[in-house]
This record gives sequence, C-alpha cells and structure tokens, in this order.
Amino acid sequence: MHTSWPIIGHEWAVQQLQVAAAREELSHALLITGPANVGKQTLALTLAKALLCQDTNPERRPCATCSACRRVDSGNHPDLLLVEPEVEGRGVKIEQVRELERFLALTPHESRCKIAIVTAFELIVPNAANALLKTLEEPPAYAHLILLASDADQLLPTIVSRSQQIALRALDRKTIAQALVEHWHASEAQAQQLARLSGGRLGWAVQAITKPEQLQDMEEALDTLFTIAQSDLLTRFDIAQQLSRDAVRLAQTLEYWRMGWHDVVLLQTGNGKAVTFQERLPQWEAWATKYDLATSARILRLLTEALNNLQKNVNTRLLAEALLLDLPEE
Amino acid sequence: MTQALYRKWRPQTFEDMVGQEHIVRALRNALHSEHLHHAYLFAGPRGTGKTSMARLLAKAVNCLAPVGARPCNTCEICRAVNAGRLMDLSEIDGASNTGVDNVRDLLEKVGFMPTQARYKVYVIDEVHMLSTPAFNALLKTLEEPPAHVIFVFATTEAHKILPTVLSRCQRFEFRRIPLDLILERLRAIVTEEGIEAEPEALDLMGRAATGSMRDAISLLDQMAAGGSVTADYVRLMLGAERRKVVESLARAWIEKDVESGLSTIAQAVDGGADPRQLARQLTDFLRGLLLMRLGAGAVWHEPTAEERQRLDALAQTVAPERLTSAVRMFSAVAAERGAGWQPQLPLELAFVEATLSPAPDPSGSDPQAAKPASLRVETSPPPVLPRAAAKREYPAPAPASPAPSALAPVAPAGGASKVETIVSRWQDIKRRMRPVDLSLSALLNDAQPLDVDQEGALVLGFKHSFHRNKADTAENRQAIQGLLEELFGGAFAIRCVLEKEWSPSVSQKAPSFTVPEPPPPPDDPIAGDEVVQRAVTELGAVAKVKA
Repeated sequence: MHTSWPIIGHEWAVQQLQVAAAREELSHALLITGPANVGKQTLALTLAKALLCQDTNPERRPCATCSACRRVDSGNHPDLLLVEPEVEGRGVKIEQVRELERFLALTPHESRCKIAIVTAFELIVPNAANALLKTLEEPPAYAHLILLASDADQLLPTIVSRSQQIALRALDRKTIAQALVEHWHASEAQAQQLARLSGGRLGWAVQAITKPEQLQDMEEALDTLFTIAQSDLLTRFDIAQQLSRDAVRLAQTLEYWRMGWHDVVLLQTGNGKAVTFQERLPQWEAWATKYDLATSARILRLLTEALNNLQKNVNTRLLAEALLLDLPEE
Repeated sequence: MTQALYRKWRPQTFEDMVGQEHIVRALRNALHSEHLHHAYLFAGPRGTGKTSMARLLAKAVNCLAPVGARPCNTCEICRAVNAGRLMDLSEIDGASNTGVDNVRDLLEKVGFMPTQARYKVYVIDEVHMLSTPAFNALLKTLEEPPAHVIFVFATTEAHKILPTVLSRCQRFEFRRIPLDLILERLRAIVTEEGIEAEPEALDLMGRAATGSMRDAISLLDQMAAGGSVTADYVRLMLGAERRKVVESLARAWIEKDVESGLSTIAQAVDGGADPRQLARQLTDFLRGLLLMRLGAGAVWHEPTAEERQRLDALAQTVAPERLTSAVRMFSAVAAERGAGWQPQLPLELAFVEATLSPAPDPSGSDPQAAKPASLRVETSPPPVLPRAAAKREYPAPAPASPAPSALAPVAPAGGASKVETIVSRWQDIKRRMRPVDLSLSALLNDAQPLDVDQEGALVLGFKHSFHRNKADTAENRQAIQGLLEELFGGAFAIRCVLEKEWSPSVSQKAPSFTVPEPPPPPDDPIAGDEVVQRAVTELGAVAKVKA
C-alpha cells in the first residue's frame, strides 16, 4: 500500500497523482482547478515534494524529512519555481512567464525534474497565457508545469486542452468538521459551524480559526443586511457610502448577503435543513413568510448581478446605492 | 518521464489525419501537381490538427521518396522532422516572439538557401499573437518570398489576423472532429498501448472532448494513469452526473416542484457534481425534449429506444415556449463565469426562475408577461399537480390580487389598445420629453405605462418611490399630458403609481381615486419628505413648491 499524502479530502486526485508520480507517468502539464481555498496550492506543493523527494523508495515520497522536502517547505528548492502574481487580485505578467521559460530551459540542478507552479492562472494577462502555450504543449522532458486556477472555463481553451485537468471540488461538511477537530483542535460545535459556513473550503475554515476577524466581518455584513431592511432612504444612502469605500470588502459583504437570501429561498422551498446561517434562522423564517419566492429570487438575481458588475470595475458607490434602493423595505 | 499520449500519437502520415479530409485532399493534390503555395494559414478550434498538419506538410514537401509516397517517414529528412532536428524547418512560437524585431530576425535568414532540404519551411504557431507591426513587417516577404520558402501559419483565432495577411495566404479551416472518428482513434490507441478500457468509458471521454482530438487523448492519458479505465471512474473524474439526476431535475422543473428540484441539486453537488456541468447537461436534456416536442426527436441521439418513449411522453406535457425559455436560462448558467462562494447558487437561482416564469406569450403582445407580478400564471397544459405548493413549509403569500391576466377584460374596451400604442411608442415619448423637460424625461426612464384605469387615466408604473414622488406633481403630469395629446390627440389623465403596488384591482376598489385632481400628495407634497426636511434643518435650504 502507498503511504498517504498529508492532504485532507480529494482522495481520488491524490491517488491519481500518487500513482502517476510513482510510475513516472505524470503529465508534463497539470491544471488544478477548484474554488478558492479548497486546497489547490497545498496539493501542488505536495506533488512537487513527491517529485523532488530524495527518498529511494518511490512509494514513501514525499518523506517530509529529507533535505529536498524541507527545502520545498521553506521555498528554497532550486528546482521548484512558484510563480505568483506580484499584486494580489492581479494576474501573472508576461515577464514572469519569460522568467519561467528561462527557468525551465536549464536542466535540473540536483533532482530528476524541474517544476514550475503558476498560481491564480484565471487572472493571468492574456498575452502571458499565450506566451506559455508552446512551452505548455512541448516542454523539456524533465519539466513539469502545474497551473492553478479557480475555473477552467475562464482560461483560454488552448491552455486547457494542453493540460491534464484535475478539478478539485468543495469538500463535504463532515470531512471539514473532522479535520478541524483533529488537526486544528477546534471544539466540536465550532467545527460544525465553520464547516457549514466554509462552503466546502477547508482553507477558509482554517483561516477563520486562526484569524477571528473573518467571522466578525461576516456577522457585521449580516447585521447590515437586517439594518438595511428597516432603514429609510437616507440611512440606506449612508450605508451605501460606507460600503462602497472598499470594493473587495463590498464583494465579500454581497457574497454573505447572497448566502443569507439563499437561506430564505431554501426555507421557502422546504429545504430548511440546508440553511447556512442556522444562528439567524428566526430572521430568515420571518422573511421567508413575508416575501414570496419570486421576490427572493429577484433579490438573489440583483445580488448576483451586482457581484458580476463589481468585477467589471464599475463605480462602487453607484452600484451600492442602486442595490440598496432595490432591497425591500420592511 | 514518458511522453504524453497526444504527443506520441501525433499523426505522422496523411492517412492518420482524422476528420480533415478536405484539407488533406487539397494539400495532396498540390503536392502531386507541384502547385505548392508559398503561404498557408491553418485555422480552427483547438486539438483539430493544425500543428500536426503543418509538420506533415514540412515533411511531405521535403521528403526524398517518390511523390506518391510522401511523407515516407523513413528517409533522412522525415526522420529529422519527426525528431525535431531538421535545420530547414523552423517552428516559431508566435505568442512568445510577438515583436517586430523577432520578425526582422526571421526575414534576414529567409534569403539563404536551405541547408539540407528542398524547401525552408517556417511554421508560426499561435500566429494571432503577433503584433500589428510584426505582421506588417512580414507583408512584403509574404507576398513574394524566395522560391525555396514556405510559410505555414497556425492559429485558433483567424479573426485577429490582418486582412492583408489573410489575402496572401491559402486558408484552410479545420473542423471539429466528429465523435465516431475520435472514438475510432481512441480505440486504436487503447489497443496499441495495451490499456484496458470499457467502451462506455471511451464514449464518455469522446463526448467530453467536444471535437478536439487532443482533449480526448489527454483525457485517456489521465484516466489510464490509474490502471484500467472504467466508465464509473471516468464519470467520477469528469464530475459527469448520471442521466438520472438530470432527468429528475427536468421533471421537477416541468412539475414546478421547486422543493425537490433544489434538493436534487444540493444532493448532486454534495456528491461532487460540478454545478455548471450539471447546468450544461440539463440544457442538453431540455434541448432534447424540445426537439422531441417539435417532432424532431430523431436528431437527439443520446437516449436509448426504451428511454425515448418515456421522454417523448414527458416532452409532450410541456409547451415549446416554456422549453425554449428554460434552455436559454440554463445555458446562461452554463456560460456564467466565476463560481463564487456557493457554486450551486446560479443553477438554483435559474431553476427557481425557470419554474416561476411563464412561457413568453408567443404573440409577444403582452408587455407584462415577464413581470414578477404575473409569475404565477399557469401557461403550460397542466397535466401535473403543483406539488410544490402543497408541500411547502412556508407557503408563499398569495398575490395581493388575482393574476392580472384574469382581470384584463375589466379594463375599458378601448383602454387596452390605447396602452399598447403608448407602450409601443414609449421610447419615442421619452425622447420627445427631453427638450420639453430634461429632468422629467430622466424620471420617466424609471417608468412604464401599465394600464388605463376605470376613469381612462393612463397609469404610469415606477420602480422606485423616489422617482414616483418626484414625477407626481401637477406640473409634471401636465407636461406628460401635453405631450401625449400632441402625439395621439385626445386628452389623457396621468396617474403615477409604484409598479409593485399596482394591480388592476386597485382601480376597481377606488374608483374615485383620481379624477379630476389626482391622488393626494396631501396639501404640500414635500413637507412630509424626510430628504427635504433634512435639507432644510441641516443645510438651511428653503423648500418651495413651484406652482
């Protein structure tokens, strides 16, 4: 039997990569996709470790003790290149792709292969993605390219067709809750709550444990949603102004609101068990009886459109005001 | 490291090129008659054989074998091309060498005779990424290159190429490869490589490849890495949902059972299905039903004979208009970008909307058809009990009034047609309002003529109370009246309402509501307005109503 990789969930993907890596049949170009914080980079780095590990028995790789494994952990391995966007929220630039090509052009320093990992590939500048096409199709024999992206549909079809896609999916609640208890020493109740809120993303749940602000932000966003329902025009404009100061935060807030109204729709359609914010059930129930399904569907649509528009660089203040005007009054 | 299967199985002869017979024939004829063009453009979707064909051509024009047998794959030149070491074949990455300087480099060398072969072949892949100056630098040489030079451009996006370049090239369009040819190739590879694969698994992979051979072979490569390839494993890896889920979703939609629809989606997603793929499959399925409904079911290949009967019966219960609008909604989900926090949400939302929305009125005469207020109108032949309503824990409150369509006849006989003419010219009316009163015309952007009430007053529905309040002054109403009189003749009274509050029944209950001096913005329309009050108290404004 193979030793298992230190990865929670995604067993099928791990198994596939493990077998391929042990047999040295791994594809030269991998595309790992999945929602944010689901574990793409963890998987890529573990795979890199397995490929670079110095343990003589392929089935024991990664051993996590040899110097190669430790240098991957500390980001110092000469045969591993991690290409990340220079600015958060932007994509990798063409200069970085050229650097990657130079990196892959030279034979490995000490290992059997050279590995380049490119993160946030869905945001990459189109020219940079195009520059990678030829390398991606026929890289040197020792090279492995691992691309990480949220969604294959957002990439150039020519990129997707050149790589083997591993589509990670959100984990189920049970796996996350269990992992939080076992590895991050969360209490059972806390683990259950975070597992529900995380939407299947272990990374988010772990962050919520280590950084409590995240949960606070969420509570605040939901409080605002209730405040708005009881506010008149003027207060709404005030709230809109505050919200629009930070576009990233606004997007996060809208996302929470959307989850809230999604709960309302779930209640209205008799799927109450799936409600995300169980703690606020009474409020959702009140709304579920007060409004009809068409109204909640319309609000969900409004929120979805607002979120889409946010990505298109619109005036955030206008967007927030227009949205708040459309939210129903109590 | 082993080579990826799609590289190992790159076609090495014209016979191996699958699905592009039209191009193979043309190129072969050109080879036979020695009427080679000096510039070729290969355009087409990914994985259809553009780069492979370019290499084949390079081999064929230079091969040492007799004309009919080219490329022979045994002569020195063919072997050199296959190993990627023929001096006279330059394969250039157009996307990395985009600049004019790269092209100048190339042009400098074009003049030299080939070292070994008959022709120097320049293959520029991803040529659409060349910059405009780079293209322009090429033009002169591309028009009249030395006799020993052949250019081959390959691209997925021919529309990005300058027309001046296009007109200098012979253009070949590569087609998506049909499913059976892909399957044939996959079977050949499986046999040759000694991979164990279930026929159904190959079929699934072939379908997932959507006409791209490289996608199909990559998939096979990926699946085969884990040992034998079973259909269940492929389904798991592709996140492909069983037909059952899709069918039960479609049924829930037809029966307007939101509850079971949403729980089906939730279960499928929890089981690891990709919501977007689910939306795509649902779209395909509904499209199939639509074809069946319209009597073209034979075009839909997927269902087996026994399924066909059941599905045909199902299809006959739905109105085609309902099907088309649902297909549109779900395909929008399949195309939507970015998953967000809850990836299943767009699908769920589309499902709710598709269930609630009536089929668009085929005559298209009812502008209110798409309005939420009339969402509950049952339009399909209802063979089915609305189970959802019976089961719901939280029954949606009944609409404040019966659905509008039921009340339509109540409106005065001439009213409906009058509204229709106004609705049809509404854009025009707004435009004509602009020179009269700019701010009023802006307010009207938020309004829609809804109906004519009992007194013959035209009802304007506003989406926001803010706009309604601003527009609803005697002066503004007069301005609108004036304009309407000018356009249509005859007098109109105007009534401004909130769209969501309006239902025709209101006009019945309150017959004395309007005429002649319309609704009470009591004595002073602005005194009660908080915005105005705060402007007065905090900013020291003076509020006045202009007569």
